[in-house]
Formats: sequence, C-alpha cells, structure tokens
Amino acid sequence: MSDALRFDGVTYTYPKGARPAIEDVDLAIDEGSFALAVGPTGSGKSTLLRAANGLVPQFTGGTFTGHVSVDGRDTLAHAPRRLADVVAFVPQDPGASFVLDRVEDELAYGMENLGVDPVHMRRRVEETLDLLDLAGLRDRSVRTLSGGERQRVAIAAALAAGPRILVLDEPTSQLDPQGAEDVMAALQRLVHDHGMTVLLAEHRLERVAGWVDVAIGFDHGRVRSGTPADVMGHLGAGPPVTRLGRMLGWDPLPLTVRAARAAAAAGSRPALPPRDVARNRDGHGPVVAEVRGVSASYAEATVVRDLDLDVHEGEVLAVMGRNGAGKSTLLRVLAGIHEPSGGQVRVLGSKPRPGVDVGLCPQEADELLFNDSVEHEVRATLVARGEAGDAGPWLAALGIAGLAARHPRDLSAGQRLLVATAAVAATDAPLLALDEPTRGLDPASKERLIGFIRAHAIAGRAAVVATHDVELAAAVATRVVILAGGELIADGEPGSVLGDSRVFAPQMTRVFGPGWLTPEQVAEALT
Amino acid sequence: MVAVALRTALVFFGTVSAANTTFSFLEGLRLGTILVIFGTFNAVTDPFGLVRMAPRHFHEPALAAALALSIAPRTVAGVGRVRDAQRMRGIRIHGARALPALAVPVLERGMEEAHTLAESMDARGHGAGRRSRYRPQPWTGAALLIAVPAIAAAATFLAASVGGWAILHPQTSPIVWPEAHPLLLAAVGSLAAPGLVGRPER
Repeated sequence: MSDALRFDGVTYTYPKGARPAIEDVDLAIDEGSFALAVGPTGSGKSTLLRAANGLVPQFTGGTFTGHVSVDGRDTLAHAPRRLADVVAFVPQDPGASFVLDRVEDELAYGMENLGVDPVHMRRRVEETLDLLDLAGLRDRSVRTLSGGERQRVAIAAALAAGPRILVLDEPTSQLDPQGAEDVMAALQRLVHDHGMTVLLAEHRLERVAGWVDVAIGFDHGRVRSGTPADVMGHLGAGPPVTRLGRMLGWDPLPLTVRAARAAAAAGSRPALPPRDVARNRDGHGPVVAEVRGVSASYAEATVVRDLDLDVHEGEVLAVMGRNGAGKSTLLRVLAGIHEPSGGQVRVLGSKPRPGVDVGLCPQEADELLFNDSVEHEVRATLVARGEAGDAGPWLAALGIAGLAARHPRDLSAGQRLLVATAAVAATDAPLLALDEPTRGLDPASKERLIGFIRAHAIAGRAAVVATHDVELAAAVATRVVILAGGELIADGEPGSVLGDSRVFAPQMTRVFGPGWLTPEQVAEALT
Repeated sequence: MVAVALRTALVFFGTVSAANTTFSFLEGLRLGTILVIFGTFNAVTDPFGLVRMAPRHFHEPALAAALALSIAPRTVAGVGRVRDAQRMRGIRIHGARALPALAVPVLERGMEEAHTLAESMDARGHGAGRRSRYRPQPWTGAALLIAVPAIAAAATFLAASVGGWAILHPQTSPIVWPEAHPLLLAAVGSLAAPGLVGRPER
C-alpha cells in the first residue's frame, strides 16, 4: 500500500502566532484508510486537516517548514486548486463553503472546474444525490436548508468531484444521531468499496470511534498515530464505553457498544436498573416557563404546532429531535425572540423578556461576539444589565478563565462557543436556553459545561438545552422531550425517553438496557 | 444615486416654484425607477440561474456578479440574526454606542465567510484551467422574447442619448410639455413583451 497523505517534519505557526499550531508532525496515512483526528479543542486538528490540501499555508500565510505530500504531490509546489482532483475538503462551517445556489449545481461545481465531461457529470451528480439521500432537495436553494441538510450537501459536493482523499472537519457536528450514522455509513462504504481515503476530525467520539481504523491523537500540536484503541488509551479519551472500560479496568478497552457488551457479558452486570427519581430530586417544583398551545412559523412554513410544555424549577430539559424538527424555534419562542403565531408563552408569569427572563445562546454563537477580549465579551453583558461586575466567575465556571485576555477571533470554534455561552449566562436570567451547546467541544470542556448547566438549574431557575448530542442529554438532563414535525412526541425522564428509543439511546443504555445513562452511574453500581 | 438624491434635496429645499417642483419630481422619479428596477431584478431573477445561462467565456464574470449580488441579502439576514443574538443576552441595539455590537459580528462573519468561500472555491478547483458545463440551460423562445426587447430598448435609448435625436431630459425652466419620440415609446412598450409569455412552469 502506498501513502495517500504524508507529513514529513511539518511545523506550522499562524501569522502572529505565539507558538506553532502543529509541531514536528510525521505522519503517513495509507491509501484506503479511514482515519480519525482526535484531541482537545484548539490542539491543531483543523490546522492539520487544512494542511492536507495546502490551504495551510497557501491561504493562511504563516511559517511552514517540512513537507506535505498528497498522492505524491507536494502541497507547497501545487496550489490547492491543482490538488482538487485528488483531495476534497469539507470545512467546519459548511454553509460558508457553498458557491452556487441550487443543491444540484453545487454538486456539479467541482466537476465543472475539473472539466469532467457532461454525460459523466450528470450521472455522478445523480449517484451522489442518492448516496447521501439528497434527491428530494436537488432543486432547493442551499441558503434555505437546515444545518444538517447543509452538512450533507457539503459532503456530497466534495464527493461528487471524485477525489481519492476526503478530508472532513467535524462532519457530524450539525447532524442528528440518525443523520450522523448515515453519513458515517456512506463514508465507510466509500472506503471499503471504492478504496477512498477518509480523514476526519470529530469530538463526538461515540459517533465515529467504531467506524475508523486509524486514529491520530493530538496533544498540544504534537501528533501520534496508531490504532484507535492505542491512541485513545494514550490520550485518556474515548466514547462513554471506553470511559467505562477504563473505570472498570477492562482490557482491551472497548471502543464500540458491541465490544462493551462482550466485555460486560464476561464480567458482572449491574443488578437493577437505576431509578430516575434520583436525579429529579424534588419532583416537579414550581413552573418557571409555561408554553400553551404555541404554534410558530417562518415565512409560510409552520415549524412548531400547538405545543404545550411546562419547565419546572430545578429542571434541565433536553429538547431532542431530528434536524428541522423545530427545536431552535421552540427555544426562540421561549426566549421571546420569535413571536408565536398562536398560543402563549409565560416565563415566571409574564411575557418573556429576552436577556432578562431568558438568556439564549444561539447555534451560530459567533454572532454574539464583538469585543476584543474574552473578558470584555462577558463584561458587555454585565454592563447591559447595568452592572459593573466582574467577568471572572463566569469565565471560571466554564473553565475559560485562562482565555480572558485572548481575542475571541483567535480561538477555536469550541472555545468561542464557550465564550458565547459565558456571555449569555452572564445575563443571570432564571431560564438559560442553549441551542446545540456542545458543537466542537472536547470531552473536558463538555464535562465543565455539564457541571455549569447543573449548577444553574437550582432554586428558582431552570435550563433548556436543544441538542443532537445524546450523551449530553444522558449526562445532564432531568427530563427529555422529543419533537417531530414541530409536535411533542415524547416527554419524560431521560431513562425512559432515551431508553425507549433506538435513535436517541445513549451508549450505556445500548449496553446495559434502559435506565442506564452514564458510565459513572454504571461504574458506581458495579463497584 | 446618492448624488441624485442630494441634488434633488438641495433643489427641493431651495425656492419653491413650479419649475423646481417639476424638476424635483422628475429627479425623484428617476431615483424611484432605479430602485424599482433593482428590486424587480432581485425579485424575479436568480443570479445563479443566470450563471448557468451565461456563455462559456462569461462564466467567470457572471459568477463574480452573482456572488456580489448575493452579498446584500446575506448581509441583511446577518444583521437580523446578530440583532436577535444580542437581544438574547440583553444587549439592545439602538444608538451609536451599540453599533459595534451589530457591526462587528456582521462584518467579521462576512469577512470570514468570504475567506472560507475563497478557500472552498480554490480547494474545489476553481481556476484550474479546465472547464466543462453541467446541464447548460438552453435559450428558449420565451427567454428570447424577454431578452431581445430589453436589449433593443436599451440600445434605442443609448442611441437617442448619443445621437441626440430625441429629448431624454425634459426642460423644466421654463416648463415645457415633454415631447415623446415615437421610437422611444415603442421601445418602452416592447418591454411589456414578457407579459405574453406567462408564468414559467415550476
């Protein structure tokens, strides 16, 4: 086998960067591998990915030493456009990468640039539409698609050009669990059946660990590659099953639900399913937010239909459902940002005032940030509510005190999301609403976020979290609702709602049955 | 357009006379017409659809124009989103002091998107020198019926302006009843031709 992608002694520093983003990287990725880049947020994954087709350093400038070769071509000698026939790149923010407007044209764009003949091009567009289940969207404008749809179109557009190497930066971060699984299955098919090489970065390891055959571990700009089990063992990273295995001293460490099931069958099983009430300490407290018969629409499309929902004191409510189910709209209605077309919303008895009764951190969290430092960003919220308070505690609560003096623009996507979350939390509004708060977060940051959300939802307060991240819901929610087509189709304690679902079941449920949500809970029952 | 508006305003706030009022009215009409034309163009055409119809050699400029035209609506949408996002954390945007809270994220994201787009175009082979076309849109009879009168009308007015054989700017001091050249009237009338085509099937 030959190397599809090869890094020789690569060190790269961004312009004005204080230290290298990646340092002394030697790496060879075989043709036909399915490789995963794993490591903390801001550790250089995106940089390495962008170096794979020469965008780093050709677009970014900075100081680059060493060599990257793609299918034998040096990325310093060939402009990214001269590598487009072998390597395709799907960036973290797929919406910004679209060139044309119609989905179908977007798929053809790369092939047009490569001069693929029209007959062949037509066939390949059709095949790619089917591969990612996009045939129904072919005439839609890319600007009207939901986040998950945009992600699939971006992947399809990269694939259609027929590259031999596909590089993707967090390809499942905007997808619902089923959508993520479909994308991973499609990628695996390309690897297995067509000998394609796929390199992706992803934080939600439970979605990818079982699919890949090579892992590249990042630790402050340094990398080490090996089998996924090796690398994750070394980094102390991994999906919930791996964390459980580590707590229980399993050897080898399981990476998949299947392996964990085998390991669990050999050892002892937790005796009785846990009781959910343990998390919902006080049962139902007083109502913080009240949604009565609410419908909401955009343009002519109804997104939320006749919805009733109470959020109680002390509750962390996870709102789940597939892409486009109406989760974000429900949050916007709750926050008083989007006027419902019918019904009414009450927060603490009156019409919700955004930023006062409800603080909402939107999915596109970057749209909040306008200050020149992380500290000033949080201070701006405090000043808006007439306080000259200290930003410190908010930063510390989310574990970003160390970034206080940094410019938000220079941070990684995950770090910026934490800054935006802190800036919203600083409203100190009784109802905190977070829309997809774990995009781009590494496990350590996610752990701190979970602690923060829990701490918020005490006396007189509550939190609502819209998310695709089932492991987040399993770890933090005291109650889960599932939306479909803007209607509430499930509502209850996480153990029963998540336990009762094939799509939304967390890994512990898949291994040990309904009721088991987190590795900590299982480990405690077993030891 | 700004210059026209300014001139109109200056004239309007000067001495009020029939001549001045008429002049202002005509200038305002001109400004209004420009806005109506742009509005109509944005409402009824898909600039990216035009990219597909552009002859091969015009592909690059057509794509550049389409991307440029898409900036305005995207920026407007961005302004709405940022305003909402700031409200969600209690920052209300009114007055000059709040301007950075609106302008910085809009501009920063705009720049970032432009950069990502440029990267993406390059990474997808834009400008690599080979080019083929995906499902080029053929010129239909209906398209010709729309395009030919439009070009003919523009040519007629251009000829009138260069040749000076018809009055394009009616005299306002003293006010004279404007004369309309039959050819110009015919050119304007021919612009109604698309009305014969009817709605396209979607």
